[in-house]
Amino acid sequence: MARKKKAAEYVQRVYALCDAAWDLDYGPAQVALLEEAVHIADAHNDADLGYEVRQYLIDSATFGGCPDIALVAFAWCVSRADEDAQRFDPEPLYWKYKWIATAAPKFPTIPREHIDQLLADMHQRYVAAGIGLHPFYQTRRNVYLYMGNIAAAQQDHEQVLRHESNPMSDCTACEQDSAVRLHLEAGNFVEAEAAAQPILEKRLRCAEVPHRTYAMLLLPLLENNAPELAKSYHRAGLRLIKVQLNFLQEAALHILFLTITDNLTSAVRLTQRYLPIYMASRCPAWRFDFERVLSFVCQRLAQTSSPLRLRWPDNFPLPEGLDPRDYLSLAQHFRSQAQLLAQAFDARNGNSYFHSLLAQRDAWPQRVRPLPL
Amino acid sequence: MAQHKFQVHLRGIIDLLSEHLYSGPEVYLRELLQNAIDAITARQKYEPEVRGEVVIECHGQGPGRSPTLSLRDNGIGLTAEEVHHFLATIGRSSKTADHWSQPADFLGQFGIGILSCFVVSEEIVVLTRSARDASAAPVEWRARADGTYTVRELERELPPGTQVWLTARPDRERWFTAEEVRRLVKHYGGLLPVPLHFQAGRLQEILNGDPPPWRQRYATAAEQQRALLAYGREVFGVSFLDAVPLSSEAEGVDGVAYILPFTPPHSARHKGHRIYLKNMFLSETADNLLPEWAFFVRVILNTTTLRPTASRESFVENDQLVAVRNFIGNCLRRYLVQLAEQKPEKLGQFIQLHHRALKALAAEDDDFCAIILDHLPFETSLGTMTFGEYRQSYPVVRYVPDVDTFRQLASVAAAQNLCLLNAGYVYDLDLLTRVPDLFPDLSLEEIHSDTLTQEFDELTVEEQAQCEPFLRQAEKILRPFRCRAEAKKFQPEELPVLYSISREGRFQRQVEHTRALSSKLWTDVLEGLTQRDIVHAGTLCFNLRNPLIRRLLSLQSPQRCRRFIEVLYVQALLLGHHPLNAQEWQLLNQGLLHLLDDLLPPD
Repeated sequence: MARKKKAAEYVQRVYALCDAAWDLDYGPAQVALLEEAVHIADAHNDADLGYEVRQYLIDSATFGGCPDIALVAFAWCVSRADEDAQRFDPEPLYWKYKWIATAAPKFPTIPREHIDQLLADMHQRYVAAGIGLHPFYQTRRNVYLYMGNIAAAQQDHEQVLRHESNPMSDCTACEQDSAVRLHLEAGNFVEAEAAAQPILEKRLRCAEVPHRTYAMLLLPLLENNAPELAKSYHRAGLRLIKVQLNFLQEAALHILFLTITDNLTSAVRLTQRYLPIYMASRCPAWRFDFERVLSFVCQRLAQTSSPLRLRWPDNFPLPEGLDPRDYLSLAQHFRSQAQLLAQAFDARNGNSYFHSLLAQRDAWPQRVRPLPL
Repeated sequence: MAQHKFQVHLRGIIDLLSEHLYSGPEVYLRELLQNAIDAITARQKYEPEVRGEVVIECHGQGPGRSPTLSLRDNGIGLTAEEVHHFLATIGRSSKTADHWSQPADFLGQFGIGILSCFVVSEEIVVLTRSARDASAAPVEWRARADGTYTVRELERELPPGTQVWLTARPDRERWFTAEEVRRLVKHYGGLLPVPLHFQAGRLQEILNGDPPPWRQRYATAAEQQRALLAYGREVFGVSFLDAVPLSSEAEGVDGVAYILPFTPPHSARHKGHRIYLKNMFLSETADNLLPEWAFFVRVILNTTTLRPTASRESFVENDQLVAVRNFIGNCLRRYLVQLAEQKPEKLGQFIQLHHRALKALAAEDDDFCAIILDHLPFETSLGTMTFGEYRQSYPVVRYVPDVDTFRQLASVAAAQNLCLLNAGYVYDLDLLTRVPDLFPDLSLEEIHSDTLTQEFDELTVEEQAQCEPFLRQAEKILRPFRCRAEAKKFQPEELPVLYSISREGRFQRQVEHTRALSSKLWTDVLEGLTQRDIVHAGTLCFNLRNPLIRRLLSLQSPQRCRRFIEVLYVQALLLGHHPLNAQEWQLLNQGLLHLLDDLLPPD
């Protein structure tokens, strides 16, 4: 009897943490509460509760910008479900597998062969469960996109078009968004614009779309002489992403837009707000995006001898001896940080995609054109 | 080659519309009201002196009778030709025709409004007479849901305008009860400037008699406030905390924002409003009309300038919308500043309910942050307190940047009477980073799990010397568990050791734990997330205030000392809810067995 009462008490604590978590927006605080709930369940060796709470944790970490935490929780769940599918229902894992597979390439320390094995495992599980392969090809295409293997992504996109969608497929909004990304990466602005139409006419939306779509179109729109549209997407997009870990990459694109249109005051303000988010980010791929833009912002501060200042938060990882107002050195510092990541990513991916992104960055200063907001 | 025309199956189209375009059968009344108002607007362009009115009558109420509804307006009316052209052609709105000149003036846009009546009625009868063409005879149009209709000219006289007659389908009678019709007309048309006469049996009333309180003048602000709150209570059934008027001719909006007397659940943010477009009810959802942080209000808002999207749940994102949103934001901000300056008690009440929204606003707006930060509550290791209370007692703002670490440290910090701020919740860190600008005298200090022990009392030189061999042994024993050892003096005295680990270290433990039970594939994948450097190790801090630890230091047997350290380590892990790995479980088991062994007399 006493034991039962004790068991109920920790279970209650776990659920209380879950309740508190659901009251929060997606983000590190929510993830932390759910992690603690997982720790308590684990500390009591309660695998059933651990499995249940990890399902929430995977969602929360995925949309809260902590893909590594989602990965670990998912691996734990898969192992349990493989042990005993009666006790640990594998059903919710099929949907989540897509997030996990696309999370893996964001970490350059996960080798390419392991990513391939992971995709093969996903493929095999989908086939075994009788799930059509449309969502698998969507996922693999997105993985290839992250890895800069555009040709392979295009091939898989063909497969996506050839296969029929099913309940495990990404929502139409996400699929359309991926198509936009693919066309942009392949340099087809016109097709990207066409693919974006259904999203931007407000017919398609979900938790991350059109947030992502707006951000990735900003620069292409400027390049294709549609500054007014870019301005309105900047406004609408910024409002949607708020200040969230999960949208660090999008924030970087908005900061870039502000900087390249010579709206340095707004750019600095937005950068300032995102510095703590950048510090908290556990995702190397997004850190790369941010560092790339951060170095550009610093470079512009130096070039224009602007009186504007970036206020570095406490504990911000600046190299020893670096003057926090020497923006030229800071620009070089962040660029070399980004370069380190680019090297790691390109070595893993076996291509020069990330270096090409750095080369783009180096061309930005020549492309600054004032555009009043 | 013969040319053919598509055959349209009206029934099928109506089913589609009712399932996808309309939120429910009740929208038939919205569509009818909309047509009536548009017709009146159109007539007033020719005859500005005409005073529009709409009459809604419910007939056939009572058991065994088919409920019928008629809706009559004195608008522009239609000729027989126009009836063929507009009423019976799907997808063509009369409002795009030339004589309606400016489509922007009208509510309807899609030319399918009247079809929504088929969702509730098998037959639509329209009696109409054109106001523009005095020679045109009145016309009767009878349309059935099977897609057939008749048109005939009437012999009798009819005043200019249009009447629509509907008889309830047996399964739709509930939408025709006098009570329901009255409710719906008020719901959709409550703000319309044209009087809506309602008749059912002997009952006669005007459903939109008085203009809403924000369109009226009051002698005092208090009187206006009372009227606004009473109106809010009637519309939403909620006794609101406050009402903030939101009217601006320049932005083309008028209405009121009500402050919720409860904290809205996350899922209900930005819902449950009453949004009107040109005085006609549009939607309860205002996705992008309000500033993101303004989730503590329910608004009633009429706009004349914004363009709704097809879903009616948000507005097209354009300059006009940005201006309106800023205007609403400014009204609410001004209200909050006024509270802070004039009504601290009410502000306290407000903060208790809506501090999250305030933090969101403060994070966005430096000036507002300066005004409000002192009033905002933060979780600390010594309980919840406002920032103002905190800074009055402590010259250094010690904060923990993430929830996980804060929860690990809070109880230990509290025992040292150390006040740590939890800055892990959304916006908290964002706000604290403004502190150096707002309060130049205050300094900020970030606390991590490994910096917390720096706040503990250091050992004397003598004590250090005494501990040194012990610590060396402890380091050796704990190294396989990636744990360092240190000794300090701290409260509570009863606590022999404190295990602390950084957030990253804790994550690394989770990675290892998961790898240990995973297949090769996942072990390999997680290998990529593993970091083995000592930075991510834990620390076991021995408390020299604790009597047990002091005795341990003088223990002669290295063997027994080892067992104590191992058990203390595992116990510290368990106290901190750190799941044990296989090795640690083994330590626990062995340790216990040895202790039991020691308790028994020797053989």
